[in-house]
Amino acid sequence: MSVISYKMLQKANMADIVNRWMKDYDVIAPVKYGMAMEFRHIDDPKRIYLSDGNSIKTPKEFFFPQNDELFEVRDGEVQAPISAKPTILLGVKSCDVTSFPVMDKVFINEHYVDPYYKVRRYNTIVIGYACNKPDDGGFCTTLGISPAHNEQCDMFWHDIGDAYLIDVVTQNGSDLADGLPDASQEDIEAAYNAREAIEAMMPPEFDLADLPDEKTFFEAPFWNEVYQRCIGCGTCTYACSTCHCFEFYDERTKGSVKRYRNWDSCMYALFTEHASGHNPRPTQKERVRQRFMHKFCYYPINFGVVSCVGCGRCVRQCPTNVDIRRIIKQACDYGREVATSVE
Amino acid sequence: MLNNPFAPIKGTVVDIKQETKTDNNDIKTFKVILEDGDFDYRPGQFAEVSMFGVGEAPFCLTSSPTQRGYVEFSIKRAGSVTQAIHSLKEGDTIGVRGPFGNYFPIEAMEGKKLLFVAGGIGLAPLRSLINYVTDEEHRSRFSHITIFSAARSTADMTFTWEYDRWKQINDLDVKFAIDRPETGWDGMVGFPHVLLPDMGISPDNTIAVTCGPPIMIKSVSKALTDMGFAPDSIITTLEMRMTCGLGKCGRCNIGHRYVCIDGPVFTMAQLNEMPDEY
Repeated sequence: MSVISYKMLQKANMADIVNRWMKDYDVIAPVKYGMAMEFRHIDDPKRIYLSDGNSIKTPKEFFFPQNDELFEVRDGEVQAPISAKPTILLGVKSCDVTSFPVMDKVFINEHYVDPYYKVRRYNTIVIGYACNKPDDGGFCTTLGISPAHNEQCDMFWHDIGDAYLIDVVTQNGSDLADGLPDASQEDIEAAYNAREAIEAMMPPEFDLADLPDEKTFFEAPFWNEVYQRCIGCGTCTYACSTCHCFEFYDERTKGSVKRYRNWDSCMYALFTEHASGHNPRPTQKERVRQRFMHKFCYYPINFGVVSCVGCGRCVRQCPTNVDIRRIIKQACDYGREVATSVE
Repeated sequence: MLNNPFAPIKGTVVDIKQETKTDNNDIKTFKVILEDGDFDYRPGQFAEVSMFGVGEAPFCLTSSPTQRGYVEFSIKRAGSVTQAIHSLKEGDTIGVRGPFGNYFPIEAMEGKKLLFVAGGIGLAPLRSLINYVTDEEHRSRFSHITIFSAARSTADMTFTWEYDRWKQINDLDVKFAIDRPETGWDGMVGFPHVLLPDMGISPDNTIAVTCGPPIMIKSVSKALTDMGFAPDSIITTLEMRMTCGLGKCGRCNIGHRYVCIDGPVFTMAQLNEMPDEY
C-alpha cells in the first residue's frame, strides 16, 4: 500500500507518545500476563508489550464484543444508545489487521448495517505491528497476507532493534505521528529486508485456486474422517479472528430487561436445532464441514474473500489438534483430483 | 427498525385464536397492531417476535398485506419463547422486528393456476399468499386455485375459521387430508405426497407452492416433480433457526445462501443447486 511517510520512534519514547494520544483516545494494546498476552485498555503505556507471537484472544472483541448489550427495555420503552469513544488499537498483527475488513463485509453491507459494530469500527484507528518471526501454526502467506504488510491500517510498525520504523498509511496515522522524525533510507531497507526474510520463512502451503466448487466440496469424502477428532468445544470459533456468529440472550432484572448478543459457535448442536427438534446439521460432521466451508467457500462466494487470515489461533488452541491447514490442503488436493478426472 | 435493525418495535395483541383442538392446544394465531404503522411487507416474509426477558424467535407473517392495519402470527408452542407467547392475553405487548427475507414471486404467478400444498402449520406462510391472491383486488390476476391442506388429524387442522370464506371464492377448490382415518371424516386420508398424484392435478401452466416440515417439503417436491412440474414451478418456504434475520448471526445458511436474506422462499430449481442441508 502506498505510504505517506516513514517515521522513526525510539522504543524509549513510546510511552511518551502514547501518553499524548491518551488525552484524546482510548488506547488498546497488548499486555503481558503470565506466559500469554492479550489486548487490553491501557492506563499505563509502560505495560504495552509488543512482541513476536500473537494474543490468545483476537482484538475483534473491541468491535464485536463477546457479550454485547444491544438494548434495554425499561418502563416498556426500548432504549438502544449507540456510541463509541475515539480509540487507537495498537500492536495488531497483519493477520488480525486483515481480519477487520473481512468482518466488515458481514457487519457493514448493502443488506443491513450493524450500528454497534460500525460505530466502534469507524471510531478506531488501527496500528499494525510486524511479525519478525513466524508464529506456530500461522499461515498468513498462504492466504496472500504478508506477516509484515501495512495494508488496511492507519500506521504500521516494524521492530528494528532500539526503535520502531513506522509506515504512515493514512491521514489519521499521519496526525498521530506528528512530530516524529523521518526514518532514514537505511532503516526503511532494514524493515523491508526483515519482511522479505519472514515471508521466505513461510512459503505458501497450498493454493486456494485448487479448491473444488461448492457442491463437490460439500460432498467430498474427506468430511467423513476429518470431523472425528473434533469434540465440539467451540474453541476454534472463539479464538478465530473472523468468526462472527452470535446468539441473543435476555437478562431480566428488577424493572429492566437487557438483550445481549453473545458469541455463538457453529460447533454446537443447538446452533441450528429447530424448536421442533429437527436439526439440519445433526452430527459433528456437518458442523465441522460448515466451519471450513463457510470460511473457504460460502464467504468467498458471498463476499469475494476467504474468511480466514491464517493467524493460526485455531491450530494452536484446538485441544485435539484439528488443523485447518491440513483440512484445506486436503480439500485442495481433492479439488485437483476431481478436476483432473473430469478432463 | 430504520436505523437499528436489532431494536424491536412494540405491538399490541388484539385478538387470539385457538387453532388446533388437540389435547395440548399447541397452535394459536395472534393478531397484532404495531406501534409503528409503517410495516410494509409482502407474502412470504417473516418477522422476529420478542418476548422481552425471555427471548426472540422468527415467525412467518401469516396475514396478507391486503389485510391492512394489523399483522398476524400463527405460533406453535415448542420452546421457551413460544411458551411465553402462548401465555399472552389480549392487550399484552410484544416486540417485533422486520419484515425480513424475500417473498413469493407474485409477478411470475400471474395468469397461472396455483396449487397450494400445506402440511400442518406449514399452512401459515401459504395463507399470507392465499389471502393476497384471493383478495378482491388481485383475484383476477391468477387462474384456478387449489388449496390442499394436510394435517395429522382433524384436531390438528389450522385456520378452520378461514375455510368457509375460501370456499366462497370464485374458481377455487379447497381439499383436506388427515394422516389416519377418523370417525365422521369423509375427506382424504394419507400423506400429501402419496395423495397428490391421484388428485387430477395438471402441471400445465401451474405453479405449486408448498410448505410443511422439511421431510414433507422434500417428499411433496419429489411427487410434484414426478407429476411433471418443472423445478422452477415448485416454490417452497423454509424454516430455520434465525437469530438475527439480517444475514449476520451465521446459522441459517444452506450452502452459501442464507435463509433469512436469500430466502425463506426458494424454488426447487434453486434448492436443487444447493447442498442438501435443510
